[in-house]
Amino acid sequence: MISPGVVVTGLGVVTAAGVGVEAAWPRVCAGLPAAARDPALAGLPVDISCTVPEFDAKELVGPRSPLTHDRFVQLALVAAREAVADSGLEPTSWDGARVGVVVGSALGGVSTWERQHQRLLAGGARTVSPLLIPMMMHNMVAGHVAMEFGARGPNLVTATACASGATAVGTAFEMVRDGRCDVAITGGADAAVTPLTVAAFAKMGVLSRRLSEPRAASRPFDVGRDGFVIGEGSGFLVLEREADARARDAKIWGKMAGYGATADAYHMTTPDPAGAAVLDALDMALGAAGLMPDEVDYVNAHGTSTEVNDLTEARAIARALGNDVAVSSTKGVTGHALGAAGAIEAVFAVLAVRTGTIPPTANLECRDPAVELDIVANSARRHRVDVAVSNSFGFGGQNAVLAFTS
Amino acid sequence: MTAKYDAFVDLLVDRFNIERAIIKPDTTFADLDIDSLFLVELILVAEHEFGVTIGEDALYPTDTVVKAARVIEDELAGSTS
Repeated sequence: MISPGVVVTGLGVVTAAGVGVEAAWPRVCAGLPAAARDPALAGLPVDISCTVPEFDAKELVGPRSPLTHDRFVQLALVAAREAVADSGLEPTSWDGARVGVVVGSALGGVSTWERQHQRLLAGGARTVSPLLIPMMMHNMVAGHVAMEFGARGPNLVTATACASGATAVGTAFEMVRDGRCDVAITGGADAAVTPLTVAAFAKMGVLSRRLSEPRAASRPFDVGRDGFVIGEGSGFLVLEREADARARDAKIWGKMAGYGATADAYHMTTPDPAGAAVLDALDMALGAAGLMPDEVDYVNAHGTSTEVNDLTEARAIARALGNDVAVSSTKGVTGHALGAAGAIEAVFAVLAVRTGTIPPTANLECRDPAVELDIVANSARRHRVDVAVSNSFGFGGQNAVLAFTS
Repeated sequence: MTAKYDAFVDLLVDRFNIERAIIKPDTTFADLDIDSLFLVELILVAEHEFGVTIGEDALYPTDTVVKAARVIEDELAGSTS
């Protein structure tokens, strides 16, 4: 039996590179890094981040939202609204029971958790907000998206660390393909740029220490890279079966063609240097899409700008797809938005297919000689993209690969 | 009107982003879309603002704005007597 095709009919992003596709995509294509010194992190060993500029939650989400929604939910709602509006679907009249929501988040409402813990220490238990739990739980982001749009179908949150957003989009793809819902609102969100989180990541040694040149700090695949820059944001897509989208004459950004998911089963934080599970995930995504490796035109890499990720991933891409495929990491611009990254980069992969523009890897001055790939560096490349693949990997060893076609 | 009514309305407007025009003395918290959890948070803020201990069970979503102001006044009077 041939599976029904699934298409992308709506896109939305909130990133350090801008709020909304129209703001973020040109900046990503221009390769302009968003990283900056962050006053909220002053005094920590690492004080650079990629935060969403001028995000006024009262205006963008709702006047009371700062008191009731953790920032990761605020960012998600703005991106989800953009994606749903972009789809042309009408939430006031759709059959909500057939609309599913799948959202990924690595760290959920940690900023709320951290603030309330400070209240506990300073003022005792009676000063702790009763809204702490409903604000910080990971699943609340999918709950809020459902409430926003009356989406009463399957509803869940995926937690696969920095692959969470990609896992969500892949899971939503399968739900739509398999008929468990007709429409999926799917994405990822994280807003974990807090002193405690950054102190912990710094202690792990995974953050760039290029503090005097923050804009040059996130430099995936460059020989001088020394870690990632923590970011925040959200990306959302609306998925539907192709026949449904064509029947309502929807604008179609591209097709979602395949999803691969595997685990390294190797180590808490270090990827398996052999990359076998990454290869399997790539094979699985292409197999689901019915594609051959040499048909892939563009890989939006996980490309965190840590040595261990970039080298392992580069080897896996070369083995699975060959050395000639065009590869870039948009984290040079956006930083690493953790569980949101896979969804944000899924949006960029779809845009690459739709526009024939491969966004560049910012700050790539000298490609690491161990990275034997065609890395698109510093300025966008105009090239027809019929097949784009987006990789995401998480601490814990989870791997998620998404495949999109024209 | 009670002595703390205006100050309590200011708190609702300034700290909870509620439109001043929709707040009347007999408006209930439920009318302002303040549910039981949100009301507990509001009580915490009011306790801090007015330097009193109100307690989580002193007010319910069905109570009015003027009742909340009276509870605060009673607590202030009690704490100084």
